[in-house]
Amino acid sequence: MEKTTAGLDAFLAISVPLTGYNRVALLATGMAQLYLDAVQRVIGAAMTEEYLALTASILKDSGGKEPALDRAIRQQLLASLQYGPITRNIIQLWYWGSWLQLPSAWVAKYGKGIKGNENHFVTPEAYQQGLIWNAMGSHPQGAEQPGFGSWSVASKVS
Amino acid sequence: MEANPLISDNRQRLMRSGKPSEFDSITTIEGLREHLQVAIELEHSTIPPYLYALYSIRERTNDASSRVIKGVVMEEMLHMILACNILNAIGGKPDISSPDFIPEYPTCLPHSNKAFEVNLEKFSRQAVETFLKIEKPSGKGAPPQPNNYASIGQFYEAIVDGIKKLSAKGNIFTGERSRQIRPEQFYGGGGGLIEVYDLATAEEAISEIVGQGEGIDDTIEDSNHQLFGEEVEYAHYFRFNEIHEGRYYKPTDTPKGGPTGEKFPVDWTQVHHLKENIKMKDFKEGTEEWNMMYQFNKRYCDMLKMLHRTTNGEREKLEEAVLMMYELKYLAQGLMNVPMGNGLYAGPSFEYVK
Repeated sequence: MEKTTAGLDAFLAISVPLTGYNRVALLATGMAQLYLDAVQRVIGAAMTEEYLALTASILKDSGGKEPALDRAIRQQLLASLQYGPITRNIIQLWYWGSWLQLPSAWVAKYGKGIKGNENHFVTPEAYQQGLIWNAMGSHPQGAEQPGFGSWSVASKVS
Repeated sequence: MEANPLISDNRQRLMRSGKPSEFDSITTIEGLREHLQVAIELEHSTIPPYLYALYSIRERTNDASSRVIKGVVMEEMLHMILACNILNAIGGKPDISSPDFIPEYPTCLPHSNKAFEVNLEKFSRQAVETFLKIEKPSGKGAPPQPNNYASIGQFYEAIVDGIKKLSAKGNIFTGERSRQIRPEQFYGGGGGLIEVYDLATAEEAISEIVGQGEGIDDTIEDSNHQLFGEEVEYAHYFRFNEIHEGRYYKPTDTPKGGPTGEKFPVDWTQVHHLKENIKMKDFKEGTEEWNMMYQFNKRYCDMLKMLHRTTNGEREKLEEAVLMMYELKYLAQGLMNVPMGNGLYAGPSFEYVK
């Protein structure tokens, strides 16, 4: 494997169950490091590290197996006041390529003074690389050519 | 896979028997068809190496080089279909879906004099040097070569000779017109598609193929300028040479003199470091990486099958084949983000899979 930061490995590891796509499919987007950077940029390195330590322990404790993993993700991540919004944002990063503003209640409690929390695409490519297009068997409108006359062929979900 | 038994078997026999004589001259309609089948394979064999280099260029870098390679590769696709049109016009059946249609890289150009090998490799000076060898003009007075050719132009010269000789003896354009891919079906590609139904249109198609590649009559311009009145565009060889020399041609430059225009910007470092001549067997079967390689190759073979149908009586299928080509692009680009260790990345291997 390529030399990746421990942070990136942990980020990819939890992104697999969060997105439903395998590690290689996520790497193939070319976006992994950029999304991790985006998370760090907004919530800070310290909270990112905390978050990834928690996700690593969830993966370890559940052995990466269902239904334990699913339950742990729901209980410890999605239902958490602090980590829920971050988790949802990571899912949205992968699917949309964009950072969605964390709720003001979250900011008031956990993120006073954070910067860069407005809605934004991480990079122009991130829009193209959103998993949403693949998930719906389509293509990023206006960014990737589907080919002349493709509108006459029914879309397919692979 | 559906194959064309006549052509495949003949060709297999020729290759296995090692009897060069049969392929060394074009004296029968069967021989002419075999040569056109090789022409289709020849045009196709250049496409994966060009795409491999093109996609290896990092997004938003090397725009000028990307434009050159992209323009050339689209014209190679056009040439492949032009060769199919000629073969169909003389009552042949293009065979695009048999396993041995796809070369195994590194490879020599089919039936060439084997002077050089073509690799699947990232965009680099070395890759561009190979591209220059592929597109190298014949030079004045170079003889037609139906086999072991030194330049692609000489191979096509031999085909033109064969067509002329055979049609002097009687009509060889017996193919059904409905098998021709028509100009209006070819959207957004380089140059124009030509419907082939007689000697004149066959010659026109071949001069487009050769003219776009090598240039015409010792100029650096390609044939579109002369055939279609388009803006002057330089032939493939000279466009690649601009990348190689890092300098644009000026309209007054000659093939011998080389480019003397402005600086052509090339950044050889803005490239994904792809493994050369990658194969599926570089990965353990069943791993996520292997599956992604397989997915690409499956789509590639499905696309070839679709092109086979397109050129064998179902020309309306071209749209679907084009759709698959775009998908292949995105799958290939995805592979190039997948690390393999040693700082190298994966890429599309263009292999036959079932």
